[in-house]
Amino acid sequence: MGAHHFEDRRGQAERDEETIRAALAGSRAATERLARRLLAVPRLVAAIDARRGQRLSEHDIEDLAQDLLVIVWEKLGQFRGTGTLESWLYRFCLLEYMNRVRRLQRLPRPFPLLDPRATPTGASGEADAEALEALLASLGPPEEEIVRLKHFEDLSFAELGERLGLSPNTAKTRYYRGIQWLRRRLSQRVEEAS
Amino acid sequence: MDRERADLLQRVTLGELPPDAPEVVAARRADPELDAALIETEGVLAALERARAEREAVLADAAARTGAPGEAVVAPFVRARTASARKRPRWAAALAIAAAALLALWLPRALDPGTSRSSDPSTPLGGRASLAAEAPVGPGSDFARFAWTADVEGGWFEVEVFGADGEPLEGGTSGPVDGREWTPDPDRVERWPEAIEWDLHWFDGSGARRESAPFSASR
Repeated sequence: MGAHHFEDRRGQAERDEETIRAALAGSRAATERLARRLLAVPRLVAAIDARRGQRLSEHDIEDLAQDLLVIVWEKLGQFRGTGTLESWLYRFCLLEYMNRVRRLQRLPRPFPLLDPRATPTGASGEADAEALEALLASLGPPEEEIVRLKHFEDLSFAELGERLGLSPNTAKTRYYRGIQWLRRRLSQRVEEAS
Repeated sequence: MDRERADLLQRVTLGELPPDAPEVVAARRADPELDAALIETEGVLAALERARAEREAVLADAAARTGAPGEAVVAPFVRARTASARKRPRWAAALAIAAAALLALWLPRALDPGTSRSSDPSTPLGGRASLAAEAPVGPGSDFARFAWTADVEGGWFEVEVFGADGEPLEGGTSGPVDGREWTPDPDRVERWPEAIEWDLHWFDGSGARRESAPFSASR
């Protein structure tokens, strides 16, 4: 992915932030734009389900998409345009999808276990994504956003600092803390499980 | 882990030094704790890269889709929500916020006039003296804000909240905190039980947990 791709993403992120602000302030035009952008919610759920072997029925996907719209709407004011709207929505869609599948299939473990010491032969990106999304959500700001932007949006520490209003050194320190927090938490879970 | 090795761990984590650099290899051989921390750190970074590839694949698939189940409800939902926001006069919203703030200040005292949270003594249940809780502590607390004192310098703190049965509560993990207070998500707090236990941890700059203290509170 080149620099142009990420410039496009940044432009889209800024437009998304403006659209949300205007829609929440009552602009009818922005409301229509936001409605088109939020079509990403059912599309993301369908895409996640397709990659996991279609575990949900069409009815379940529709039901989940409606619940997600309510969840996302309550959090929409927190969207800061640090990444695109789809990227921000992905975390909610994945976590709620996991919860729904586990509830419907009565799976015991809340999240898959990720052992940071294991050799990743045949490692599953799907399981890693689930385990990490769940952990990142409990890491909280600003480390959560910094780890996401560094790994998922490919930003340098200088770019990260610029977007979040931090110095590059502060961004580095926070990133280090975030990674080490994830490491300790994953190890702790593996120890508890064994 | 000493300072020099903590710096090494930080530089490898930040990508400033490759994990197979000669000084890293030598330090790993001499220090099994550093070696284990580096193996786990590399594992986390590799898992993040796999998660990123998965994420990109889902985003690309979603971008190419049309007609997913549930698409028909999106526009009516968004229009209804923004329309209800337009109908509500601004002064009504401001009045509701002011009333909620006054109620939040008044209600705990009205319900429990004998308790003043600001004068509650800190009651650690056996933790070290250098970490002391300000709130929430003891009965009559609210769980909106966790605050503490600590005679330590540098590093960071973490809070973990548990139910009376010792099970971690959803939304009860703070992540790293620089200051001496943490505000949990109010939506999650509402769902917490009436009585909680919480642990306060202090980590030094290398990420090693140096001190912990347990507290209890109820509302």
